[in-house]
Amino acid sequence: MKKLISLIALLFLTVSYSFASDVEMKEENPEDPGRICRYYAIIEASNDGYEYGSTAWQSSYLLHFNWCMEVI
Amino acid sequence: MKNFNFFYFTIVFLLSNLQAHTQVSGTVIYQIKLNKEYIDNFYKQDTVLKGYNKIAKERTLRLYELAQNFRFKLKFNKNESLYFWEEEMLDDATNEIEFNLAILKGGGRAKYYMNKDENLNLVQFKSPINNNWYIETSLLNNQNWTVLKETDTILGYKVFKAVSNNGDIAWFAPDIPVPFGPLGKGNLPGLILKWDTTKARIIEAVEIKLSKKTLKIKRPQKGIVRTAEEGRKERIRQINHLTR
Repeated sequence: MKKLISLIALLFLTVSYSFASDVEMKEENPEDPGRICRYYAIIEASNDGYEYGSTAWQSSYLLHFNWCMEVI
Repeated sequence: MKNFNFFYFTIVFLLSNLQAHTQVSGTVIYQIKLNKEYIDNFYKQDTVLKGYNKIAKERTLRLYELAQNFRFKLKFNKNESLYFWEEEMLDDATNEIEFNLAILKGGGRAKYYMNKDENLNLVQFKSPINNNWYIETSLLNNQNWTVLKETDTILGYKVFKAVSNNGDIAWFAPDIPVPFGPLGKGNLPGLILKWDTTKARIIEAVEIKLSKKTLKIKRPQKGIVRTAEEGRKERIRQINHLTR
């Protein structure tokens, strides 16, 4: 029984690790300015507490995105 | 003696109510404040921005420094209110994108109108995508709050704390009995004097002028009319398309 539990735990950890690595590779690619700027714009609009989809949220997103693309 | 106390209490209560009801017009100036603790904690985290964290934080602090100078006005009478930015000129030293982002923290160039009798919440703005003017409507009583016992004082008014469904915090003054506030926030039994997004941005009243005369409120007219929900769906679609 113990061996079975250990085996399941090991399998779970392996799958989780591969999944996490995959997400990291996809989401944190420093070579893609568009991707970084999208995250930056979402983070900034979210930090200000704009309601998702509101006119202020859209304007904030676009202005932060454009500024980021100029800087990077 | 008991009778006297009751009589005295009734008179004071009636007088204070009378005063509140005769002064239901006024102007409030709001300004932006930064919750610096939130920003400090946020940028301590290992976010996806990685090497850009420092520059992003510095920029956020600079934007708030700029935003704190702007004044946003709420004019109200017992039935209507209008919230807008008191226009200021862009000086040569300020970057235009940063200037626009700083104004946006208080609502940008949009006008927010509320009408109690019509149960109406309306926002008028120019779309950054197609430059068209829009008027978007929703119901004023769509905003749901839970009023808590916690109290504070803002500009001499006793304010009560209320929490919205999405976690925003409003501090409202029952002594100014109108259901209005900044940025279209309202539907509370008193004027909202402070609105806290519980993130980086706080909007707080810095001046209040009550008037015995009923102030005239000009309702925004220009723009393509649609519901706020229709507008929201359209904006999300536009952003998804632009940043694909």
